Amino acid sequence: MRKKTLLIITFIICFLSTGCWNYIGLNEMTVVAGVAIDKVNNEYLLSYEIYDLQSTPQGYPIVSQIVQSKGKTIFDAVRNAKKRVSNKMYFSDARIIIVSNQIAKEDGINSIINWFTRDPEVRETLQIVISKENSALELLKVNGLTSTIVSNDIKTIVEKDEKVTSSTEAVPIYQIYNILSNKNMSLTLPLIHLVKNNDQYVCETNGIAVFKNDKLIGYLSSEESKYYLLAKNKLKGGIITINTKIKTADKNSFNISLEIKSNSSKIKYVSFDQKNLKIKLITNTEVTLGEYKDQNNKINDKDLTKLEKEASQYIKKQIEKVIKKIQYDFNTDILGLKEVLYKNNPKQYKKLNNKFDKLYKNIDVEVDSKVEIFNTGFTR
Amino acid sequence: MLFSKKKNEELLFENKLNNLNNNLAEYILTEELDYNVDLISKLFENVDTYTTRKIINENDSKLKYVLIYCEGLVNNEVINESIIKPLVLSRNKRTKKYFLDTVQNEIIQIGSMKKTNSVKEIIEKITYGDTLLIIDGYNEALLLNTPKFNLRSVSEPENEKILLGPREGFTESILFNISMLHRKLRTNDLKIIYKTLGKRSNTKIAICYMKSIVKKEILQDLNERLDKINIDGILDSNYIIELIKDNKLSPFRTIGTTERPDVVVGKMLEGRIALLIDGTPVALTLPYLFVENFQSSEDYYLGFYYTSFSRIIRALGFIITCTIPALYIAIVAFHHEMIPTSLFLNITMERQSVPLPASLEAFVMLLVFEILRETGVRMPTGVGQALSIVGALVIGQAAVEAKLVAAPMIIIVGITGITSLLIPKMNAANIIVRFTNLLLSSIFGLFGFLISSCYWLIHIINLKSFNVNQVDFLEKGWKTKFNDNIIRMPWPKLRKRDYDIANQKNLIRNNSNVGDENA
Repeated sequence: MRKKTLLIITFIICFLSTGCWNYIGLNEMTVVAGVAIDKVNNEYLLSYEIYDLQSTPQGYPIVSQIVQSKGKTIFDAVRNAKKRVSNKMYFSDARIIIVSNQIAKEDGINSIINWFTRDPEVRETLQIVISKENSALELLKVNGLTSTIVSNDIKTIVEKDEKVTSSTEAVPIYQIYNILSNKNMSLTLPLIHLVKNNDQYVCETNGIAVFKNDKLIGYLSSEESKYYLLAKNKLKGGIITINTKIKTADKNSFNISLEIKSNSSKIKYVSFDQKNLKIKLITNTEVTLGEYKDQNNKINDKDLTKLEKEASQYIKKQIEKVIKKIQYDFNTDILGLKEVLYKNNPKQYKKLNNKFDKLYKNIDVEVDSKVEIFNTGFTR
Repeated sequence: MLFSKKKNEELLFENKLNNLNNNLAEYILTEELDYNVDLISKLFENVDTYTTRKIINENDSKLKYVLIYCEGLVNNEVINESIIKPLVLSRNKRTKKYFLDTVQNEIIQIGSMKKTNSVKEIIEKITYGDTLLIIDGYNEALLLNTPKFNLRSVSEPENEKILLGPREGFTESILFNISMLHRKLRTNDLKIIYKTLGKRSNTKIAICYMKSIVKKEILQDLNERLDKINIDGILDSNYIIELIKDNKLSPFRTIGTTERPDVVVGKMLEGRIALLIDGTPVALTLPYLFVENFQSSEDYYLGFYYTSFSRIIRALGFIITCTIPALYIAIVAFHHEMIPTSLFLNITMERQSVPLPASLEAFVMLLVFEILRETGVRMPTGVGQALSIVGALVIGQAAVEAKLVAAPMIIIVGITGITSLLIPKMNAANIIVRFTNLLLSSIFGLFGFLISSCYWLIHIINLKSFNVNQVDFLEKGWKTKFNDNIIRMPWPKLRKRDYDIANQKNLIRNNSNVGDENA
């Protein structure tokens, strides 16, 4: 009998001393869809887009509301929000954090994401974007084009971008943490700005925000982002438009578009002599001919090979331009050249490890691009 | 002096009678006719159907007989024509030694009879429709088989309806039920052994099995368990189930029940033992494996693809009905982050103005469902329809519209209810498992759910039916078991009987070689 009661008691203790279990009714929480973080007078101003479940009529899409709070730290501000709303903020379904470029420049991204990575409620797949506008709040205030919740809109725009346009790169919060803690890598974040669309401002991706350490130092435009992603082997789709010199009947040059089907690129360490680090970048892109202006709708093999050459040259030029911009303007290793060195030649890496920052600007990157048009489409 | 002696004798007789009921087995008939009749009449005192009839032979007035029977249980025509008439008219001479045999063999014209001198047996037989014939001067009497019953006609069992296949069901008469088995199994290998259970009801039960297929250990075990039964009455087979079951407190079945003779025959051919109980159409089959919960006789009458599919559905139904409410509560009340955002928002919207917390809501709604089900079972069909309308409208739509209950909860309860009806054989287990799961998961979330489902899993795996493991895939012969388990293979593949159930020497049941030889 004694043994039995002891057993039961130990079981009950086991039950009660387990980690995270607590009962929260679904109607006892304020569900956050997205957060915009600004800084006003040395205090963080957090604006939450919350799902307004009470005032949404039955059968209609859920509408949102904006709640604001201030605090000296992020967590402080989050808790201060409770003073205004009846229920505690619930972050598990938050989709997006919008950080104003001012904070990203001055405070660095680390101070922002720290609470979000520590808190158990927040998901690791949360997206962080940088607002190119004056404040992050401005992005939350506009109406979404496809849904009533802007945060959802921004999240899907950013996430589905890479397969269709490749104008920016989505970086979920757990990757930010990984990149920041790895000395060989540098951070980039998607950039969002407002554009006028049918007399209304809407959100649009606008390239990539480039970071040195954890501070914002510049932007790549969406066109530049495409070639940056191509060089980094992260490209999954997109259109390349080039102005071809192939003469047609009307003897004018014209624009054609190539749709990227697949791309593989490799960065290789080549050699190091005294001051110059040589690195080779090989890209191999498979495209289909998406648009080609010709009266007969025909294109012969000769023109095709010409086109391939032109496209590969164009890509090569663009990549070189982007790399130069990254090297000289930003002086940050977002392409991961240091990591390449580390992986390809660890001995050399050990020698150059300390000198790498000085050498970086002068790294000679040789670009070798190849384009193959494997399909010209079919016109009816 | 003489008077007192007589009184003494009477007193002695009274005393004897008082003891009589306690130890009937010790009492036997004597050679005195009057004593015998008095003894039995005293035993049947205040039983007004009890009838005695004295008969004296026409030719020899010293030949006296007494007939004893219970009115209503016997066939009067047979008694008049085949017993009384020959006894009165017979010209046989009385010879001390052989006269009883003469009566038995030459005079009475009845199919079966039995010599006996045990009072206990006489009482059991008379109350079952036999007629007792006592002859003056003999310490043995004849039990004449003269019963007459009014029987319910054979009909399809209400609880085990099937689409295709034999439609007869057992009735309340054990003899008739056995006749149905015999008609399906025309072999002397089918053994039927009578036993009488119940101190007061003296219910006849029949242990039926195929001698060459049955496993002797199981038969012996069954006999031992039956012999230990010491209860006053047995009115239905469930009395026996609960008395001889292995895990007495388990909500899961370890003995099968059926009302269909074809099922009983099928199980006997697999090596199982059947128990028929007089007075109830429900027969027992044992040992009972866990998969039998998901099997039905129809599975062998319809195509194997279809029936395999329906068996899978039934097994899924069991899992769903036990886990769905608990999982829902665990996720909605504890682990919100497991729900996809759009679903989460929809559920949250629905839950905005509902008064009860989710777990209490689940308990209340499941209880309401059980109440509806229970009322529906006992209702006549006409009222049952009205009931279902009330249930669907009031509980379903109106409660949601009045914001008393959230709509997702109604869906969950609906799914739970429908899937629980998929497996009527597990009705008790369903409720217990579901509610323990629900209780633990509404206190501890998914963690509690895991604890309680682990408990039930271990419990199920530990279940035994007559020392045969109910769930067992790991032993020898698991391949044979798998052929007719959750999936039913076509008949050419079902060649062997279950290793655990049937006699080891006689495992092959199907050796047909039809069509291509590779099959």
